[in-house]
Amino acid sequence: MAEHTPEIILLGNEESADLTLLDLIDHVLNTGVIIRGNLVLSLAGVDLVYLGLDLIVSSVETALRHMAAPRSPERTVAGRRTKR
Amino acid sequence: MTIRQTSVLAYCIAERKSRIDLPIRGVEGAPVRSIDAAALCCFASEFGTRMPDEPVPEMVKAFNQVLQRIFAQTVIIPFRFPTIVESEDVLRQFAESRSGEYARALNRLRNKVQMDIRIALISAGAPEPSRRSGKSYLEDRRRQYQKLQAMLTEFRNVSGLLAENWIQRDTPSGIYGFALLDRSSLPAFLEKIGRVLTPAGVSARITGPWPPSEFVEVADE
Repeated sequence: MAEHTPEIILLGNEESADLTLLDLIDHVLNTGVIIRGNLVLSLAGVDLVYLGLDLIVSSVETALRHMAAPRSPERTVAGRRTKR
Repeated sequence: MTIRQTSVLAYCIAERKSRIDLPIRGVEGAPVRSIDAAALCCFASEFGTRMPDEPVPEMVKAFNQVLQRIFAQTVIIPFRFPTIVESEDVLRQFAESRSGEYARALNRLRNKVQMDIRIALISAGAPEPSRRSGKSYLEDRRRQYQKLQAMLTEFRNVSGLLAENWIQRDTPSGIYGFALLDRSSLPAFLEKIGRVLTPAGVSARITGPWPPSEFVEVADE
């Protein structure tokens, strides 16, 4: 392959349609302000779930599973896992 | 016991200023609101505490669209996705507690944008690792890294003083360069780096303008 010019994708232009999910994930999951502390979520009809916020940002899928699960087999308090 | 059905998804922090034209809907179609906190304002929307209807990639896209809409009007410091807090009051308290340092960072980065340059090797049938010695492997790695580093240096050189600052991050997949520049310098920057020729076997992907997150210097809690 010969020399070539770089691929340039500008956000807000039509080219931004070429922005890959990888580009987006790299930005929204890997950069930005993190609030450290405890989050208290109350799920309808069940007990409270405590999650360390930095745990949430480290794993979307895990966080969403926690939110979806009425009774999680374990819970996390300020990032420390504790077995019930 | 009070059962809370929703919490708050935080998008970003900006300077409290004249009216920002907010996107009508954010993640999961929830209305985006601004929350004043001392000299700052935060942007957030309600977030259900049940399994979201939208798949995660759609949520990421919606989150980014909100950021881009606000960033087009003023400089922002994004929250990492998904930052979810119990209520708007919790978010306000957080922003107020860090108001001084975020206000200084936003003031320093006013009218600034970040361009990302991702430089990687295009794999072309590398020799079998088992047939190579450890020394040969390490030498190959060093040569590859030098090739990528030379490419980033070329981008830095051609952009000259247009970029006020650079940050480099080495990753297993290549080198990331982050350039901080004034929004008004963007056309000239793109014109210059768009003419750089990338050698065979190397790919360079440039995206932006992004909020200048890599250049926010605030102390960790």
